[in-house]
Amino acid sequence: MKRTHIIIFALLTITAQYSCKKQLDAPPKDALVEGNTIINQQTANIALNGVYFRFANADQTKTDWSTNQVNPGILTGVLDDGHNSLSEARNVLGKTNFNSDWGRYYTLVNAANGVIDQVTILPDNLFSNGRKEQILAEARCLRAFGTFKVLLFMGQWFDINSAYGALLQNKFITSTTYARARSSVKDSYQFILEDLDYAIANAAATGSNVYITRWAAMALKMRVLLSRGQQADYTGCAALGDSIINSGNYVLEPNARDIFYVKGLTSKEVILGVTPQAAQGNYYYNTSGLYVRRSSFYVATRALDSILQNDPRRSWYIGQPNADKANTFYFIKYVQPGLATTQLSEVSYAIRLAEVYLMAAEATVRAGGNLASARTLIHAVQAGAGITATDNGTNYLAVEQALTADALLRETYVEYIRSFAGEDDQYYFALLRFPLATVTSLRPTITTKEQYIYPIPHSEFTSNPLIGAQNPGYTQ
Amino acid sequence: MNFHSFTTAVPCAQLSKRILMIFKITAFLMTVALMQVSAHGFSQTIHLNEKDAPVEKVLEQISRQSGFHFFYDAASLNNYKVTVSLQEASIETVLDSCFQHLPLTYKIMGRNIVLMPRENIPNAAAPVQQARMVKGTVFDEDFKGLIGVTVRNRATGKGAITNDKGAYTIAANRGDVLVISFVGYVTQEATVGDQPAIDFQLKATNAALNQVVVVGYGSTKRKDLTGSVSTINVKEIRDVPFATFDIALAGKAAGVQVVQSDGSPGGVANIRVRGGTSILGGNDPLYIVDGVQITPTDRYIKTPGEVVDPIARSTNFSDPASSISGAYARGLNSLAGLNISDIASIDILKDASATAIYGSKAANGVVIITTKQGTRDTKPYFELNNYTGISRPVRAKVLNADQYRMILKEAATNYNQELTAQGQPTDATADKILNDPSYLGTDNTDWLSLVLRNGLTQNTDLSVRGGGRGSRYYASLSYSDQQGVVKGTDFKRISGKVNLDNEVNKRLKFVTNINYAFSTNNITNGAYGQALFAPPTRAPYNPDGTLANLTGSALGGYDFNGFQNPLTLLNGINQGKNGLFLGSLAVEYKILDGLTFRSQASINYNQYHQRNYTPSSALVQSASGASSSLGGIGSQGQTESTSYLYENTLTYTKQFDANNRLDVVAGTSWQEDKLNSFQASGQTYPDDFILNNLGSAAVTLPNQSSSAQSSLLSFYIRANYAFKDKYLVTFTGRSDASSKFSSDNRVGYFPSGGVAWRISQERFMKGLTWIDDMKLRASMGYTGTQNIGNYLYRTLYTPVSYNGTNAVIPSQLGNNRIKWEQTLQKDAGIDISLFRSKLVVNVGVYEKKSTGLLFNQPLPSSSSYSSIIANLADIRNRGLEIELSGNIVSGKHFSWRSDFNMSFNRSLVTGLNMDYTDPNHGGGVTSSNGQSYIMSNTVLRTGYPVGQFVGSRFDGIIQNTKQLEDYRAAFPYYAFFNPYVNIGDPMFVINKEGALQGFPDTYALIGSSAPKFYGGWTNTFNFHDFSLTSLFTYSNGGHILYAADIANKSVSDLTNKGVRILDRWTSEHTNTDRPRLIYTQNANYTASNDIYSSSYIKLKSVTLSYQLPQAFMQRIKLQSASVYVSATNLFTITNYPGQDPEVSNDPYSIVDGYTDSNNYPTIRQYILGFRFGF
Repeated sequence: MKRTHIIIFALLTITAQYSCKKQLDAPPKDALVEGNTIINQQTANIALNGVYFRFANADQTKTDWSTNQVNPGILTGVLDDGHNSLSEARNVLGKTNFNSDWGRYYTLVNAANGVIDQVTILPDNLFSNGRKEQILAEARCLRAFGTFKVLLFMGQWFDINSAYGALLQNKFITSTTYARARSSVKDSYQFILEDLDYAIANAAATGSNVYITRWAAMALKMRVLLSRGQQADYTGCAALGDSIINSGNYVLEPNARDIFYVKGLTSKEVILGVTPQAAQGNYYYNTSGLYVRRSSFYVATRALDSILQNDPRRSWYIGQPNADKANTFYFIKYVQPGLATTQLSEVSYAIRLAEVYLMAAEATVRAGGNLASARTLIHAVQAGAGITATDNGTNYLAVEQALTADALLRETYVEYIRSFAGEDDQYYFALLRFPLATVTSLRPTITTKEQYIYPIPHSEFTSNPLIGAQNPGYTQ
Repeated sequence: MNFHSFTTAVPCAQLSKRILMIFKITAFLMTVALMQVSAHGFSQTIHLNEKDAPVEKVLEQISRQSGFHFFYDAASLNNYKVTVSLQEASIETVLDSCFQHLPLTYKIMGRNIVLMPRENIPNAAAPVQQARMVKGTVFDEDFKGLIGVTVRNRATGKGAITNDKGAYTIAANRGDVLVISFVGYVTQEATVGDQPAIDFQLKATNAALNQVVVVGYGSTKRKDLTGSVSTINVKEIRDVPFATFDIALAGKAAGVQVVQSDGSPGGVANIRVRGGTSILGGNDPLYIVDGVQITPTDRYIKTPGEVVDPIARSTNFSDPASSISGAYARGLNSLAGLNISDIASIDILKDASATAIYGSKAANGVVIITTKQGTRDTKPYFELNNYTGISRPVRAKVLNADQYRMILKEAATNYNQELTAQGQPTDATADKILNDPSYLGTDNTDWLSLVLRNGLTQNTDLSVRGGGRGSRYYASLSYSDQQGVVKGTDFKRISGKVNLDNEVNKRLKFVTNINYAFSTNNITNGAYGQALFAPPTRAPYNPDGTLANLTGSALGGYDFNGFQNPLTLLNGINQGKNGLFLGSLAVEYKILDGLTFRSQASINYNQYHQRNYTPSSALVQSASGASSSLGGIGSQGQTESTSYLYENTLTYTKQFDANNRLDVVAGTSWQEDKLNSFQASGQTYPDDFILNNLGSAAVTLPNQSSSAQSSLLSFYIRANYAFKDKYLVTFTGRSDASSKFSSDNRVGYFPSGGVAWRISQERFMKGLTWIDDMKLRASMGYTGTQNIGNYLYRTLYTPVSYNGTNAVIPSQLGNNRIKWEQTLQKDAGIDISLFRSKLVVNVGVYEKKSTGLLFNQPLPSSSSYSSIIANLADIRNRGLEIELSGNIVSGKHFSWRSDFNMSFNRSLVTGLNMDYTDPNHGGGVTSSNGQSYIMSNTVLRTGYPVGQFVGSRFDGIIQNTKQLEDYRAAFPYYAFFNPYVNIGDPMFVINKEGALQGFPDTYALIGSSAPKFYGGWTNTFNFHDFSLTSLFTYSNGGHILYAADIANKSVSDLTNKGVRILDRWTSEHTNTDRPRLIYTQNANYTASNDIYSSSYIKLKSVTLSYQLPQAFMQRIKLQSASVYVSATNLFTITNYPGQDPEVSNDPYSIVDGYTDSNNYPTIRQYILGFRFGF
């Protein structure tokens, strides 16, 4: 071969080798990888929306807040399975499936960590108007939401000195870092509150209630502080409540029924909600389908019916009796039996202003504050249900007649149930914030603090060698 | 004349002049005496490699190697020098080559060669001598004339073919060389002298030993192999109506297990070479067609209009949403593009020594297919092959209307009796069955006849081949049309190939190969399975002409069960169209003698189009089981896949001397695979038959799309060294860098080595003349699997949406530590050829240890991922292979050749961390600790062979009160699950401990699918012009789940049953394992008594062909003509109660695939064909 041929051949070989190397590293065409998922503000927003997707427990067909709506109700005794008798309804949690939420909330935490890790290292100049901090704030608030849920249901949140806290994931998972030990309760609270403080400082003050705002972060912090339950926490909680009520742009819905049957997320009372996927209302296995006797069927109990005596909400919470099980009724807060589920009935409500009022009231009482101002807060919520001094006044009067802190806390608890039955877990933890004796008197099937929380799922112990001990009272 | 001579024995210098003179005179006399004896070529071959060497020295070399004596006038050599380089050449070739530029010629007389000055040789300037017609006859060893032998005049390039007596006539000049070549015989040459006729007696090559075997990047002779390679005789399969060549491999090679999935036209076979080696990856061998690689893939794009398969539903655990997907998996064959008529050879590489040059793709064996080429210097030769025939279904036997009524009434009676005995009111449906004569229907419908038919098969292929001096060509075109035996199913293919082979000059050569195929499959959607259940007492149509409603809810069951009117499904469309283009262009450049550079660029391009339409009246699979298609669901999908392969190789062949030979191939390749796929679907169409195109849909369903790519950079080398032709060593090494692994683990190294000892070449064996060859061989090496997921090492984000905007979520946790799955294979064997290849025996043993198989490692849910893929599992295969072939009779008029093979394979799953089921068939990964349930009929479990059936253990029929009481005591929950359990009901083994204590154990291992041994037996008989070839295949010791029969043990609704239900327990007939009938109340599990032996012997194919007489052919100006009749699956000897024990529900999986899903009947084919050459 001529020398030029050899040179050309050699050059071709080298070029080919280079392009080979590049091809061998080529990223996928129908998925993103860590390096190209978040590269600017727009892609960061898309990834952040993925965190909300996890928050909504969604798939492409539907969002699914059914366990949020149903499980606390079953544990509190106000909701029940329409066909079967569940050990959870007796607060026997040794073999519960409800603890699958453990995995669900870690998908939320990990998605948030992906955003936090990748957005943090991007240059600030790729973002406009503080959007970088807002994105981080939203992601950290959602991480706090997930971690707090795990702490509440699978950790001894009620004992600041307990070693049985949440498992804290602060970095995006890799194949070598997934095994972790659970942290103490104190560290768990600290981790959650750091995230929330960042979110309160950096999140946007206005925006859609499908997404995290400063106010949502503040409301979430109120929940956390009430749970931690240190004296300073109550005053902090009450102050946050004041701030949201007075400075936030949220307004209690004059008729609470309108939230569920008319307005949905357009109600000015909703601080954070879950919006359904397109056409979710028509999907057979959707969330509100749970209440109209489909393959899964959940109902209101006689206990809820009793709590709602003299309350106008009874007419739109308690439906006709369930023929399959005595002392249970169709639960019609979202959808009437026999009626088709709709996009509206598929909306889920994570935080409403009414809860802020009740939390502020509870914190005020627990902080040793003015009982009268706490009563005013409760009355404001009752007003939305149509309960005033003049109309449907029985329960109004009950609040007025609660003269001690304990009595008023009980009235607050009952109002949590009346307001939030079938929404999220507010009333269950309001129950557990009482001393055990009170808890047992209100919910006789709970006799030990071990029943407050679930066991960590068995599979965690088989696949995570570092996890540590199971919650007391349960086997691994 | 002054003759000079020397021999190998006595160097001339040492002989005295006197003795020399005596020798010379004697020799001269002998020469004269022998003049009239025509020369037969000696079989000795000569290797020469001399440059500018004196002629005398060269002659000395030739003499030493061949034993010929030279006689010549020393002066006439004139200190000529020659340059010559030849391998394994005949004496004539050597001499021609030596003297081509010298004024010398030669004459062979016996073992003597006389050199003479070339006086009468024509030269270019001299006037061309008048050509004369040389005649002669070509004989075989028994002096029988050989027909169809090509006689070619090397000088003119013209050729002739011998007639039916073996005679030929060809124009030739004196001094021209005639070359006689014929397959299976040693090529001979002769120089035209003045003799009036030149006769040849051809000597048969030792066919088995000298058979050319195609191995990776080259070919070799069988005697020189150190590895294990099976070769398929293409002649034996070309007249059998196999639509695709993969099916034709059945029973032909030891260690190659071929199970035809079902009778769907052009369907897929489950092919395993020495067992499976991968769990999540593919287990099919790598196919290489003219250097282009093909990996079989299931191309089905999941459609939203999927139909529930009631048989899968009845097994409790198979994925019921499989009527269409399963039919595609079995019916749509990615190897269907290749026409058997175009194939010249099929070689199956089995051991590491043979396969390691394909490194990471070779763990499952390599099938190398070479297609036909043209022949040089011949006129165009056309070949036309045509056959027509029919396929007949092997039908299941179902109850007729009277039997059906009797069975249902018995079930209803028994149920009402139990109810009455327990003081309950009788059942309303049972009452209707018993009392309302019209309830069950009054018709008499033969549903199977309504969905089945005899299918017509047609095939025509035409090829032409030929060539000029420097080029040759082959082109073909074929058309196949095979109607399926289920209405609406068929396979059509237009395919062909073009091969061009051009020698630009002595050093440079171009080879172009194009194979193309356009095929259309119409796939079933389960109409046959439905017809097994449709009640014979119901009419297919309502009085108004619409189709009768026979859904589950209309038959006393639930829509969930998936039943529907079979004729509804016949109106559906399930079509796969495939366009295949395999093209390659290669350049070969001979750099030096023995050193060749070859560069080949090839492409494997596939365009797949899928169209599905599930009609408006059909039920489609839905979240709730089965629901209305709401006006029909139609979808169209498209997949385009492209695989580029660019390979460069250097081949070096050197015969150093008579004792040392070296062959080296070194190369590099670059492969890039790309795939893009999408599907669009719509729902609610105005019309099922015309307006069923996508655009007519009222509702648009979600689109699907995917794309993938991968690339592979490889370097490889193979060196073969032979010492004294008896000690053979092969070393192979390959490195593969794949985009499927992270840069840390990207490169895999796959070395192998093989040795062979041709013990028969040793002196101590020389006396045993009846042994032609005996070779001991052993090899060991690593191969890998590359047919795995693309981005397993990467953490992926996939697109979703929330709140009406885009979102991405982390969907896969990448494991950047995953590395190649490796298979260490050890192989030893002995190859013996006896009595001049009349009997050839090959025996081999092997062990394949596949380690680091990719498998799911469960992750804690706190990681947010359910599992990660890691190198966790191990599978081991061990086996023994025996191949015997022999020419039992080889007479003048009658011959009989027989080939027999038998293979034993034992697989063992080692090191799985949990039981594993195929995620494509049910729920996927589940644990075995009693807390979860299995979603498949088969599992992989550590310590057991691949393919373990899972289910309940059948414990007999309750025959008396004591047994009944005992069973009730062991099964305390019977009151909830089986309240009417009584004498005549089945017993299942009950869990004695654990979480499921007191319940039937539905998680027991109830059988092993793998056969103990399997193989095939081919016989070819030739009698005058008739030839009969038969193939028996057999398998012994395996098991199969007869899924359709599970429903034949109970009456749970109004569907029809197979005739085996007639064997049910009654008080008069107690010796049976079929329970009594009790309407809707039979306990029904997939149980050990549903597992049957799949042992069989089958007459897989038989072909009778007749070669038309030569005289007749000459009259009609044909070179060859034959007619043939052929049949497949004529009979099967088996105890299996189903229609055919050779069946697979999933040909791609090693986990699943051992169930008779009864979705498409097995077929018998009968054809009549003819083959002309002109």
